[in-house]
Amino acid sequence: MGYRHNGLLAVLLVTRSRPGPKLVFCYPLSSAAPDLVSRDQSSDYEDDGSNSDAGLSGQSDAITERSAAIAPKRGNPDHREDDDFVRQLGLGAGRSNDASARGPRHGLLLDLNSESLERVLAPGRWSDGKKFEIAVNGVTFVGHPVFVKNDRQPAKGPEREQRPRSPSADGQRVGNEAIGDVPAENESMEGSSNTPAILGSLDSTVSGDASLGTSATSSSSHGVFATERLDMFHVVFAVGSSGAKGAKVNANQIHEHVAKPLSTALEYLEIQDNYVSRESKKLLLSSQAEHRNHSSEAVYAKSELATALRDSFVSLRQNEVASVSLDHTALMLLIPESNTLSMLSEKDMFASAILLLDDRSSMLSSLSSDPSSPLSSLILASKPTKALSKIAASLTMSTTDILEMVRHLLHYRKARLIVPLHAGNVYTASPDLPLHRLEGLCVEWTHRFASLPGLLSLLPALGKSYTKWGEMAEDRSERDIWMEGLAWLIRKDVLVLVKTVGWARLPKQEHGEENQESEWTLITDPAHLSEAEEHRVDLMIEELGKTDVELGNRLPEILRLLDGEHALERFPACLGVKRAKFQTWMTVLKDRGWLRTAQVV
Amino acid sequence: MLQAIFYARFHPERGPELFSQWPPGLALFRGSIESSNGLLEFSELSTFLVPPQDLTNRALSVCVNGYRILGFPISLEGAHYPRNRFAFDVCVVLDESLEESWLKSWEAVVAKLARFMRDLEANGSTKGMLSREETIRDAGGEETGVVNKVLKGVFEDLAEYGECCVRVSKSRVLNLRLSAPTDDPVTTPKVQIWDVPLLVRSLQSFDYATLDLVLAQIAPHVNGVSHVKKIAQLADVHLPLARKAIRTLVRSGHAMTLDIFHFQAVYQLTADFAWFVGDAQMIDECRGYIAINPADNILATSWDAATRLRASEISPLTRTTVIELYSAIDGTSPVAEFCIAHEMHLYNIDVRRLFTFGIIKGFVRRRQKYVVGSNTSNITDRASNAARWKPESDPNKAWRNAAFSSGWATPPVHSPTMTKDPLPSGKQLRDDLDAKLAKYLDGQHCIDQMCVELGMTEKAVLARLNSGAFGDAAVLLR
Repeated sequence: MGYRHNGLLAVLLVTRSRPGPKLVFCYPLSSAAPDLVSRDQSSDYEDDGSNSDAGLSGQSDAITERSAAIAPKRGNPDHREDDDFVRQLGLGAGRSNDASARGPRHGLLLDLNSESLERVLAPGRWSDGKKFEIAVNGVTFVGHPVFVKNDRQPAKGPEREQRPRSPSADGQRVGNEAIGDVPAENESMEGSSNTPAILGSLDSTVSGDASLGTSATSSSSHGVFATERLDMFHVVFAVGSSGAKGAKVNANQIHEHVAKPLSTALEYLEIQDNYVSRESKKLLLSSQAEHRNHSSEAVYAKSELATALRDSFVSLRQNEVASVSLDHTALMLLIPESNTLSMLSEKDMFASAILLLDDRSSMLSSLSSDPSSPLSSLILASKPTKALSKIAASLTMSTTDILEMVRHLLHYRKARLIVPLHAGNVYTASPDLPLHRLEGLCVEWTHRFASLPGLLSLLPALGKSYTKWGEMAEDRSERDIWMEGLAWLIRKDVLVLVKTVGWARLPKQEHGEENQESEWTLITDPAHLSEAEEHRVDLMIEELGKTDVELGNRLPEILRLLDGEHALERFPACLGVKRAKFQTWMTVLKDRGWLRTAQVV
Repeated sequence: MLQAIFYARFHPERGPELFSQWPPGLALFRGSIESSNGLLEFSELSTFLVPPQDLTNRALSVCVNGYRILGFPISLEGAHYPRNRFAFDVCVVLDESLEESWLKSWEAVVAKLARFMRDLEANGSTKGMLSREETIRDAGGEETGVVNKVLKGVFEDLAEYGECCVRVSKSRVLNLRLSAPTDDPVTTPKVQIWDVPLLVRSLQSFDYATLDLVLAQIAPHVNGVSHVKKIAQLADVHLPLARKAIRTLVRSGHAMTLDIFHFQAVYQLTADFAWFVGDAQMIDECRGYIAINPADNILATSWDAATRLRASEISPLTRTTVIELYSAIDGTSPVAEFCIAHEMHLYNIDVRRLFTFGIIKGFVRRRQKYVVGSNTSNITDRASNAARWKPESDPNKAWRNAAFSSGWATPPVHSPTMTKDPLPSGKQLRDDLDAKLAKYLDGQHCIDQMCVELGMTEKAVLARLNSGAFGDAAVLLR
């Protein structure tokens, strides 16, 4: 699927313990934002003053637009875009970048002071387990704060050895590091003004050493560690206003489908095993390493939660399924797409094929169920050229079961419903053809389909005229590889089907009706025929019946589909007839002038 | 939609607190009118209503209990204020379920209201008006009622009429208007120099007096035919200024941008065509838009009398004709071929408008051509020779700079000064052109862009690309 970001700008983790709130994690880090904003604005003369009429500060537009132009993606050819995104927002892996090296708890994030963000993103107990949403200057922060019930006994975790330690020794060690690492200017900041070092070790606090909650023990947010029990944690997603058209998500969707389930999972893990507490501490510790090494990789190497949040962000931003692991528990998050499914009737779904979006074998291996399960069977039997009705028949499954499983695959974006691929159909370059990825696609195409012409030969040829896909193959024996190539091109949004839609065209009007000037009239709403139209259709059936009884009998059924929306390419599966026979029928109707078609994408 | 409006402040001793609200009898906050019930709890929200100083002077909203509180906290600094700071926030309380498009309108209203209140306090004859009001209240004296007056006026008139006018002093009048949201709010539309702006709402003549000078100058040239660069040239306006003005028109919903119409362009129907076909009213609107007097038809000028007669017999412009013409758009043939194929039916139809109408309504889309060159590396080397020849300075640029700095409007009469090198040969010019073209051959620049930026026709661009200088240049139609 072509990359279209949805306006997601960042993910943050804020925790609150006795001394106060802490911004523990942020991805991507945008401490360099102000410079970039000014650069962006000055780069295009026409942009000058563009926001002056908004009445609001224009920076958020600049941020969201900037991020809109960037496409973060890990583990695929778009990785380069991810680097750009990270670079622009000021975070980089293994880079020496002053802004990012200072860590998330310093300076500006999304052009907002991180300390202020800490305060506003750590609401009171009133927000426990509720949707939290604030918007600052066009950036909306959505989360689902969780207040931890601290009356439980601390659980035993791998991080917390029970053997007593010397707080002073531990504290000294960490403290020395902190002294060396914390920038001088931070020492004057609130909460850390009097303490250059940490007084207690992590373990000592968990094992019961009291924190006084004074400035001396305050963790603040400036490179000193949490030594207090976690009261609250809050995973917050920042959403901008400039998501791609049609892909933009709103705060409610983020809350309902991402923030809430994620927070619920984390709450469970926190209750079970102090997971969030442990990970927060790791994050704070590794931020020191990050600071020393000028690298953010240390954070991800040490903290599973950081990796999970980062990966979720990267996937969700592209409207993909985020599959993350939290304390060895798999969690899948996704923002449902505004549903095209609901627009398709069951009949249409059965006339469609499913195009798997992942490698079949990896999909099968990711299923926890046994290989003979219905879902595995469906995945194995599915072909982009085969309508679901045929698959259901071959698997002898009920329609309800098949549809349920198809919906499941579609929901998790493992498949897409398409008009069954056919060599007799016409395909052309997609309006969403990702030009910025064309070079990579060409390389991948050549690698996968070495026996077929290069993509840069194929695409111009398809643009010159609408050619049936099967005619591209010189030899019938190549048909399979061509169809395989077609499926790949459709999966990558390179090609789309040129749909033929049609309307029934009725012969000349009789007197006394509207549209008298027309020689022909189209039936534009076949589901609600007027009396006169019904009469004329009856005459058509009667006339057809003289030459082709079957066509005459099935004409009402065909007419109902001729509404300008249903693709003729889907008709054979809908009607349960062979494609060749259907083509003959269409030719008959066209020859009589009773069919008007148009080709749409 | 609008539930309440209130004024919150930062009291130097008590911290954030509610100062005033409207309607006064509404139990907005728990305890605000001596009621134990309330829609909201002030203490829970005080961080957001009177936020840390660095979050002030910008929009800040929060959702709670099904309500959305839109604010724009203001913080003023001054030695005469206790704690050297005067902070307040005028917030509106709306339903959380408010549509996003309406939200934008409300945000603009709240921002303007905040600026007005800030100016009341900070500038001019009313300087210190709000802080005085607060001080009088704190001292138990009789207030001037300015805050209440503003809150009442805004609440009642905005809720009732969608606009309000509150006079606070002789010189301070608050005018607010809640603009109806558009279906597809345009944030910052991109306007490229090869885009063709088309006015979709008229710019009434009296508006010209209040338009900025650039807009007034370009407006007569915005005709749905000329692209931005051409408009700038015709209106004698600096190109970036013209772009900005057109963007303003697009943003305000007065204009939309189209592609350049020419007879080599290729169009395609979209799935929305079914909607058009099913809407008789829309088809009639189309008929009205595209119909022309046959005498004005440029296609018919070359016809002989017999063809003209035949065409006139065919063509009353019926709904069916319109649908059939659109149905014939095949997505691969250029307009020129379409015209030849349907010459008779186009007798009384403006072809440009036929396609433009479809684009405006969204059931026709232009297929742009993109070029990927396989051999562009040595082009730039060759061009370095061609680059030896160039004017010392661009006369047009100098002309414009001078015009914009001094106001004189006569172009320089002397020709551009050349370097002492001999005039370039045809080959050098071609190399120079190739070097320019090579920059566009990464498959991400449409031919319209090349044509406008290089001042060439599509035919000339394609001829050069097919000359072999760029290897096998692949032209993609997207």
